[in-house]
Amino acid sequence: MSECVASLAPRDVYAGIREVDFDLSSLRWVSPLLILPIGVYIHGSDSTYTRPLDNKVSSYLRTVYFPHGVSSVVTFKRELNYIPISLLKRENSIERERLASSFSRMVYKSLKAIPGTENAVYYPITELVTNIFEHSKKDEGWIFAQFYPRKNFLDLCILDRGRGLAKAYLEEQSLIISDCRAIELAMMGLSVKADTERGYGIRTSKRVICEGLNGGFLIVSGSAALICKGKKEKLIRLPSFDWQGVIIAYRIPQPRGAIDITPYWE
Amino acid sequence: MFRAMKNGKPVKINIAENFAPILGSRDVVRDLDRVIRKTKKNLVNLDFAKVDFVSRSAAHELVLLKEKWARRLKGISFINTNEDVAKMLRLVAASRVLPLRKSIKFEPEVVSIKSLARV
Repeated sequence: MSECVASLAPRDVYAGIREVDFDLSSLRWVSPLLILPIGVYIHGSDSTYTRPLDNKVSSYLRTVYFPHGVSSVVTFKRELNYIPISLLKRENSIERERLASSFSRMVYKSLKAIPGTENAVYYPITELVTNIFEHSKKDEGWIFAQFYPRKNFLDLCILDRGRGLAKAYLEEQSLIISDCRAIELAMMGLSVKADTERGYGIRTSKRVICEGLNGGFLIVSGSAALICKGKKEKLIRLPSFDWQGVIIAYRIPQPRGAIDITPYWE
Repeated sequence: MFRAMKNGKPVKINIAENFAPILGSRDVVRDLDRVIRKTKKNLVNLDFAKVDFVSRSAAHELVLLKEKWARRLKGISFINTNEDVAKMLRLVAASRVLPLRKSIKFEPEVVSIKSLARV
Protein backbone atom coordinates (compact mmCIF):
# COMPACT_ATOMS: atom_id res chain seq x y z
CA MET A 1 0.00 0.00 0.00
CA SER A 2 2.85 2.37 0.84
CA GLU A 3 4.43 1.67 -2.54
CA CYS A 4 1.14 2.46 -4.25
CA VAL A 5 0.93 5.86 -2.54
CA ALA A 6 4.54 6.58 -3.34
CA SER A 7 3.91 5.74 -6.97
CA LEU A 8 0.98 8.15 -7.10
CA ALA A 9 3.03 11.12 -6.00
CA PRO A 10 4.70 12.13 -9.25
CA ARG A 11 1.41 12.31 -11.07
CA ASP A 12 -0.22 15.67 -10.70
CA VAL A 13 -2.74 15.09 -13.45
CA TYR A 14 -5.64 14.25 -11.13
CA ALA A 15 -6.10 17.78 -9.81
CA GLY A 16 -7.48 19.30 -12.98
CA ILE A 17 -9.79 17.82 -15.56
CA ARG A 18 -7.66 17.42 -18.61
CA GLU A 19 -7.26 14.69 -21.10
CA VAL A 20 -4.38 12.36 -20.48
CA ASP A 21 -3.21 9.21 -22.19
CA PHE A 22 -2.43 6.70 -19.47
CA ASP A 23 0.22 4.30 -20.62
CA LEU A 24 -0.70 1.00 -18.97
CA SER A 25 1.30 -1.08 -21.46
CA SER A 26 3.89 -2.27 -18.95
CA LEU A 27 1.43 -3.22 -16.21
CA ARG A 28 1.82 -6.79 -15.06
CA TRP A 29 -0.31 -6.64 -11.95
CA VAL A 30 -3.08 -4.28 -10.96
CA SER A 31 -4.76 -3.54 -7.67
CA PRO A 32 -7.98 -1.61 -7.00
CA LEU A 33 -6.03 1.30 -5.49
CA LEU A 34 -4.01 1.66 -8.66
CA ILE A 35 -6.66 1.02 -11.24
CA LEU A 36 -9.80 2.61 -9.81
CA PRO A 37 -8.51 6.22 -9.56
CA ILE A 38 -7.15 5.94 -13.12
CA GLY A 39 -10.43 4.46 -14.40
CA VAL A 40 -12.51 7.13 -12.70
CA TYR A 41 -10.24 9.85 -14.04
CA ILE A 42 -10.57 8.46 -17.57
CA HIS A 43 -14.34 8.18 -17.15
CA GLY A 44 -14.67 11.78 -16.04
CA SER A 45 -12.26 13.45 -18.42
CA ASP A 46 -12.48 11.58 -21.73
CA SER A 47 -8.87 10.59 -21.27
CA THR A 48 -7.49 7.55 -23.02
CA TYR A 49 -5.25 4.67 -22.10
CA THR A 50 -2.91 2.26 -23.77
CA ARG A 51 -3.85 -1.32 -23.00
CA PRO A 52 -1.46 -3.52 -21.04
CA LEU A 53 0.69 -5.72 -23.25
CA ASP A 54 0.23 -8.55 -20.80
CA ASN A 55 -2.81 -10.44 -22.11
CA LYS A 56 -3.96 -11.57 -18.68
CA VAL A 57 -3.94 -8.05 -17.27
CA SER A 58 -5.61 -6.65 -20.36
CA SER A 59 -8.32 -9.31 -20.27
CA TYR A 60 -8.80 -8.74 -16.53
CA LEU A 61 -9.37 -5.02 -17.09
CA ARG A 62 -12.02 -5.84 -19.69
CA THR A 63 -13.66 -8.34 -17.34
CA VAL A 64 -13.96 -5.81 -14.52
CA TYR A 65 -15.42 -3.20 -16.89
CA PHE A 66 -12.42 -0.86 -16.71
CA PRO A 67 -12.65 2.11 -16.97
CA HIS A 68 -16.38 2.93 -16.97
CA GLY A 69 -17.67 0.27 -14.55
CA VAL A 70 -21.22 -1.04 -14.20
CA SER A 71 -24.09 0.87 -12.70
CA SER A 72 -26.87 -1.67 -13.11
CA VAL A 73 -27.61 -4.51 -10.71
CA VAL A 74 -28.61 -6.77 -13.62
CA THR A 75 -25.21 -6.36 -15.31
CA PHE A 76 -23.42 -6.75 -12.00
CA LYS A 77 -25.17 -10.02 -11.24
CA ARG A 78 -24.09 -11.50 -14.59
CA GLU A 79 -20.52 -11.46 -13.36
CA LEU A 80 -19.80 -14.57 -11.37
CA ASN A 81 -16.02 -14.72 -11.20
CA TYR A 82 -14.79 -11.18 -10.80
CA ILE A 83 -16.17 -8.23 -8.89
CA PRO A 84 -16.70 -5.49 -11.47
CA ILE A 85 -15.89 -1.82 -10.96
CA SER A 86 -19.18 -0.44 -9.68
CA LEU A 87 -20.47 3.03 -10.36
CA LEU A 88 -23.00 4.16 -7.77
CA LYS A 89 -25.32 7.00 -8.73
CA ARG A 90 -27.20 9.33 -6.45
CA GLU A 91 -30.20 9.66 -8.77
CA ASN A 92 -31.78 6.30 -7.95
CA SER A 93 -31.01 5.50 -4.35
CA ILE A 94 -32.82 2.15 -4.31
CA GLU A 95 -30.98 0.88 -7.40
CA ARG A 96 -27.74 2.17 -5.87
CA GLU A 97 -28.49 0.41 -2.59
CA ARG A 98 -29.15 -2.86 -4.42
CA LEU A 99 -25.93 -2.52 -6.40
CA ALA A 100 -23.97 -1.79 -3.22
CA SER A 101 -25.68 -4.80 -1.56
CA SER A 102 -24.71 -7.08 -4.46
CA PHE A 103 -21.17 -5.73 -4.29
CA SER A 104 -20.91 -6.30 -0.53
CA ARG A 105 -22.32 -9.82 -0.81
CA MET A 106 -19.87 -10.69 -3.57
CA VAL A 107 -16.98 -9.39 -1.48
CA TYR A 108 -18.19 -11.51 1.43
CA LYS A 109 -18.48 -14.59 -0.80
CA SER A 110 -15.03 -14.01 -2.25
CA LEU A 111 -13.67 -14.19 1.29
CA LYS A 112 -15.15 -17.71 1.48
CA ALA A 113 -18.24 -16.46 3.32
CA ILE A 114 -17.09 -17.48 6.79
CA PRO A 115 -20.10 -17.20 9.09
CA GLY A 116 -19.70 -14.47 11.66
CA THR A 117 -17.66 -12.23 9.38
CA GLU A 118 -20.56 -10.61 7.52
CA ASN A 119 -20.68 -7.57 9.79
CA ALA A 120 -16.96 -7.00 9.53
CA VAL A 121 -17.17 -7.09 5.74
CA TYR A 122 -20.34 -5.06 5.37
CA TYR A 123 -19.68 -2.37 8.00
CA PRO A 124 -16.87 -0.42 6.31
CA ILE A 125 -18.33 -0.72 2.81
CA THR A 126 -21.75 0.60 3.84
CA GLU A 127 -20.39 3.41 6.01
CA LEU A 128 -17.84 4.59 3.48
CA VAL A 129 -20.29 4.45 0.57
CA THR A 130 -22.95 6.43 2.43
CA ASN A 131 -20.30 9.05 3.26
CA ILE A 132 -19.83 9.74 -0.43
CA PHE A 133 -23.46 10.70 -0.92
CA GLU A 134 -23.70 12.59 2.37
CA HIS A 135 -20.55 14.67 2.02
CA SER A 136 -18.96 14.74 -1.43
CA LYS A 137 -21.63 16.87 -3.15
CA LYS A 138 -21.09 14.70 -6.20
CA ASP A 139 -23.66 12.42 -7.75
CA GLU A 140 -21.35 9.47 -8.31
CA GLY A 141 -19.28 7.17 -6.17
CA TRP A 142 -17.13 4.20 -7.14
CA ILE A 143 -16.24 0.90 -5.51
CA PHE A 144 -14.03 -1.92 -6.62
CA ALA A 145 -12.50 -4.95 -4.94
CA GLN A 146 -10.35 -7.93 -5.76
CA PHE A 147 -9.57 -11.01 -3.72
CA TYR A 148 -6.17 -12.56 -4.32
CA PRO A 149 -6.51 -16.27 -3.50
CA ARG A 150 -2.76 -17.00 -3.57
CA LYS A 151 -1.96 -14.07 -1.33
CA ASN A 152 -5.06 -14.62 0.79
CA PHE A 153 -6.06 -10.99 1.02
CA LEU A 154 -8.70 -8.70 -0.36
CA ASP A 155 -8.05 -5.19 -1.66
CA LEU A 156 -10.90 -2.75 -1.84
CA CYS A 157 -11.09 0.85 -3.02
CA ILE A 158 -13.93 3.36 -2.61
CA LEU A 159 -13.68 6.83 -4.05
CA ASP A 160 -15.38 9.97 -5.22
CA ARG A 161 -14.45 13.05 -7.23
CA GLY A 162 -16.23 15.44 -4.91
CA ARG A 163 -15.13 18.40 -2.86
CA GLY A 164 -12.76 16.50 -0.56
CA LEU A 165 -12.46 16.73 3.22
CA ALA A 166 -10.83 20.16 3.62
CA LYS A 167 -13.43 21.87 1.42
CA ALA A 168 -16.25 20.02 3.19
CA TYR A 169 -15.05 21.36 6.58
CA LEU A 170 -14.68 24.81 5.05
CA GLU A 171 -18.17 24.87 3.54
CA GLU A 172 -20.03 23.20 6.41
CA GLN A 173 -18.07 24.30 9.49
CA SER A 174 -16.19 27.39 8.20
CA LEU A 175 -12.89 25.75 9.10
CA ILE A 176 -9.91 26.79 7.03
CA ILE A 177 -7.59 23.83 7.32
CA SER A 178 -5.03 21.88 5.33
CA ASP A 179 -5.73 18.51 3.74
CA CYS A 180 -3.60 16.86 6.44
CA ARG A 181 -5.59 18.51 9.24
CA ALA A 182 -8.86 17.60 7.53
CA ILE A 183 -7.87 13.93 7.54
CA GLU A 184 -6.92 14.22 11.23
CA LEU A 185 -10.30 15.72 12.11
CA ALA A 186 -12.14 13.03 10.16
CA MET A 187 -10.18 10.37 12.04
CA MET A 188 -11.07 12.06 15.34
CA GLY A 189 -14.73 11.72 14.45
CA LEU A 190 -15.53 15.38 13.82
CA SER A 191 -18.46 15.29 11.47
CA VAL A 192 -18.66 17.71 8.60
CA LYS A 193 -22.31 18.06 9.57
CA ALA A 194 -23.32 20.00 12.68
CA ASP A 195 -25.08 16.93 14.12
CA THR A 196 -23.04 15.63 17.08
CA GLU A 197 -24.40 12.12 16.59
CA ARG A 198 -22.53 11.79 13.34
CA GLY A 199 -18.91 11.48 12.33
CA TYR A 200 -18.44 7.82 13.18
CA GLY A 201 -18.15 6.39 9.67
CA ILE A 202 -14.52 6.79 8.70
CA ARG A 203 -13.04 6.35 12.16
CA THR A 204 -14.97 3.26 13.16
CA SER A 205 -14.49 1.71 9.70
CA LYS A 206 -10.75 2.18 10.06
CA ARG A 207 -10.90 0.53 13.50
CA VAL A 208 -12.90 -2.41 12.18
CA ILE A 209 -10.41 -2.84 9.32
CA CYS A 210 -7.18 -2.39 11.27
CA GLU A 211 -8.13 -3.81 14.69
CA GLY A 212 -11.00 -6.18 13.91
CA LEU A 213 -9.76 -7.56 10.62
CA ASN A 214 -6.02 -6.97 11.09
CA GLY A 215 -5.88 -5.07 7.81
CA GLY A 216 -4.36 -1.91 6.38
CA PHE A 217 -6.22 1.32 5.70
CA LEU A 218 -5.45 4.29 3.49
CA ILE A 219 -7.27 7.57 2.99
CA VAL A 220 -6.26 10.21 0.44
CA SER A 221 -7.90 13.60 0.10
CA GLY A 222 -6.44 16.53 -1.80
CA SER A 223 -2.71 16.51 -1.25
CA ALA A 224 -2.60 14.38 1.88
CA ALA A 225 -2.75 10.72 2.77
CA LEU A 226 -2.98 8.64 5.91
CA ILE A 227 -1.75 5.07 6.02
CA CYS A 228 -2.69 2.86 8.95
CA LYS A 229 -1.52 -0.66 9.69
CA GLY A 230 -1.95 -2.18 13.10
CA LYS A 231 -1.21 0.63 15.54
CA LYS A 232 1.01 2.54 13.13
CA GLU A 233 -0.52 5.66 11.59
CA LYS A 234 1.45 7.69 9.09
CA LEU A 235 0.27 11.03 7.76
CA ILE A 236 1.88 12.16 4.53
CA ARG A 237 1.80 15.36 2.51
CA LEU A 238 1.76 14.61 -1.21
CA PRO A 239 3.47 17.66 -2.68
CA SER A 240 2.85 17.02 -6.37
CA PHE A 241 -0.41 15.15 -6.11
CA ASP A 242 -3.92 16.47 -5.63
CA TRP A 243 -6.92 14.17 -5.69
CA GLN A 244 -10.11 16.14 -6.00
CA GLY A 245 -12.36 14.12 -3.68
CA VAL A 246 -11.59 11.22 -1.36
CA ILE A 247 -9.95 7.86 -2.00
CA ILE A 248 -10.22 5.17 0.63
CA ALA A 249 -8.52 1.84 0.13
CA TYR A 250 -7.99 -1.09 2.43
CA ARG A 251 -6.49 -4.51 2.48
CA ILE A 252 -7.80 -7.29 4.71
CA PRO A 253 -6.48 -10.80 5.13
CA GLN A 254 -8.98 -13.61 4.64
CA PRO A 255 -10.71 -14.10 7.99
CA ARG A 256 -10.13 -17.48 9.61
CA GLY A 257 -13.06 -17.44 11.96
CA ALA A 258 -15.91 -15.39 13.33
CA ILE A 259 -15.09 -11.77 14.13
CA ASP A 260 -16.94 -9.67 16.67
CA ILE A 261 -16.83 -6.06 15.56
CA THR A 262 -19.35 -4.78 18.09
CA PRO A 263 -16.55 -3.45 20.37
CA TYR A 264 -15.72 -0.95 17.60
CA TRP A 265 -19.27 0.29 17.19
CA GLU A 266 -19.81 3.51 19.09
CA MET B 1 -45.41 -1.43 -5.11
CA PHE B 2 -45.63 -2.05 -1.39
CA ARG B 3 -47.46 -5.04 0.02
CA ALA B 4 -49.83 -3.75 2.60
CA MET B 5 -51.90 -5.77 5.03
CA LYS B 6 -55.35 -4.27 4.92
CA ASN B 7 -58.39 -4.70 7.24
CA GLY B 8 -57.24 -2.54 10.10
CA LYS B 9 -53.96 -4.29 10.79
CA PRO B 10 -50.68 -2.40 10.61
CA VAL B 11 -49.30 -1.80 7.16
CA LYS B 12 -46.18 -3.90 6.56
CA ILE B 13 -43.26 -2.76 4.45
CA ASN B 14 -40.80 -5.43 3.46
CA ILE B 15 -37.42 -3.75 3.52
CA ALA B 16 -35.32 -6.35 1.65
CA GLU B 17 -37.89 -6.73 -1.10
CA ASN B 18 -38.70 -3.08 -1.63
CA PHE B 19 -35.32 -1.56 -0.85
CA ALA B 20 -32.25 -3.75 -0.42
CA PRO B 21 -30.96 -6.66 1.70
CA ILE B 22 -28.11 -4.53 3.04
CA LEU B 23 -29.27 -1.13 4.20
CA GLY B 24 -26.31 1.20 4.11
CA SER B 25 -27.28 4.70 3.16
CA ARG B 26 -29.27 7.44 4.82
CA ASP B 27 -30.82 8.27 1.43
CA VAL B 28 -32.69 5.01 1.22
CA VAL B 29 -34.17 5.53 4.68
CA ARG B 30 -35.38 8.92 3.46
CA ASP B 31 -37.04 7.07 0.55
CA LEU B 32 -38.68 4.81 3.11
CA ASP B 33 -39.88 7.90 4.95
CA ARG B 34 -41.63 9.07 1.79
CA VAL B 35 -43.39 5.70 1.53
CA ILE B 36 -44.53 5.88 5.17
CA ARG B 37 -45.86 9.38 4.57
CA LYS B 38 -48.16 7.97 1.87
CA THR B 39 -49.67 5.29 4.11
CA LYS B 40 -52.91 6.18 5.84
CA LYS B 41 -52.46 3.63 8.64
CA ASN B 42 -51.25 4.78 12.03
CA LEU B 43 -49.20 1.66 12.59
CA VAL B 44 -46.39 0.65 10.26
CA ASN B 45 -44.32 -2.50 10.61
CA LEU B 46 -40.95 -2.35 8.93
CA ASP B 47 -40.20 -5.98 8.14
CA PHE B 48 -36.47 -6.73 8.23
CA ALA B 49 -36.80 -10.40 7.26
CA LYS B 50 -33.94 -11.21 4.83
CA VAL B 51 -32.14 -7.98 5.69
CA ASP B 52 -28.55 -9.05 6.34
CA PHE B 53 -27.15 -5.85 7.73
CA VAL B 54 -27.97 -2.25 8.59
CA SER B 55 -25.14 0.29 8.75
CA ARG B 56 -24.77 2.60 11.71
CA SER B 57 -25.72 5.55 9.53
CA ALA B 58 -28.86 3.84 8.23
CA ALA B 59 -29.74 2.70 11.76
CA HIS B 60 -29.37 6.28 12.99
CA GLU B 61 -31.68 7.50 10.23
CA LEU B 62 -34.17 4.72 11.08
CA VAL B 63 -34.21 5.73 14.74
CA LEU B 64 -34.75 9.38 13.75
CA LEU B 65 -37.57 8.28 11.45
CA LYS B 66 -39.26 6.31 14.24
CA GLU B 67 -39.01 9.30 16.58
CA LYS B 68 -40.34 11.70 13.97
CA TRP B 69 -43.40 9.58 13.25
CA ALA B 70 -44.03 8.97 16.96
CA ARG B 71 -44.36 12.75 17.36
CA ARG B 72 -46.97 12.65 14.60
CA LEU B 73 -48.80 9.79 16.33
CA LYS B 74 -47.81 7.15 13.83
CA GLY B 75 -46.23 4.05 15.33
CA ILE B 76 -43.27 2.51 13.54
CA SER B 77 -42.11 -0.97 14.57
CA PHE B 78 -39.03 -2.85 13.46
CA ILE B 79 -39.96 -6.52 13.05
CA ASN B 80 -38.10 -9.73 12.12
CA THR B 81 -34.70 -8.14 12.63
CA ASN B 82 -31.79 -10.54 12.79
CA GLU B 83 -29.55 -10.39 15.85
CA ASP B 84 -27.00 -8.03 14.30
CA VAL B 85 -29.59 -5.62 12.93
CA ALA B 86 -31.31 -5.54 16.32
CA LYS B 87 -27.95 -4.91 18.03
CA MET B 88 -27.17 -2.02 15.72
CA LEU B 89 -30.56 -0.39 16.19
CA ARG B 90 -30.31 -0.75 19.97
CA LEU B 91 -26.79 0.64 20.00
CA VAL B 92 -27.78 3.74 18.04
CA ALA B 93 -30.92 4.27 20.12
CA ALA B 94 -28.95 3.90 23.36
CA SER B 95 -26.22 6.22 22.13
CA ARG B 96 -28.88 8.80 21.29
CA VAL B 97 -30.28 8.68 24.80
CA LEU B 98 -26.94 8.54 26.58
CA PRO B 99 -24.02 9.41 24.28
CA LEU B 100 -20.61 8.02 25.08
CA ARG B 101 -18.35 11.05 25.31
CA LYS B 102 -14.80 9.97 24.80
CA SER B 103 -11.88 12.24 24.15
CA ILE B 104 -10.33 10.87 21.02
CA LYS B 105 -6.61 11.11 20.58
CA PHE B 106 -5.22 10.90 17.12
CA GLU B 107 -1.52 11.50 16.80
CA PRO B 108 -0.18 10.02 13.60
CA GLU B 109 3.47 10.09 12.74
CA VAL B 110 4.04 12.71 10.05
CA VAL B 111 6.35 11.28 7.41
CA SER B 112 7.64 12.38 4.04
CA ILE B 113 6.57 10.73 0.82
CA LYS B 114 10.22 9.88 0.16
CA SER B 115 10.33 7.68 3.25
CA LEU B 116 7.51 5.58 1.81
CA ALA B 117 9.36 4.96 -1.41
CA ARG B 118 12.10 3.34 0.67
CA VAL B 119 9.70 0.96 2.48
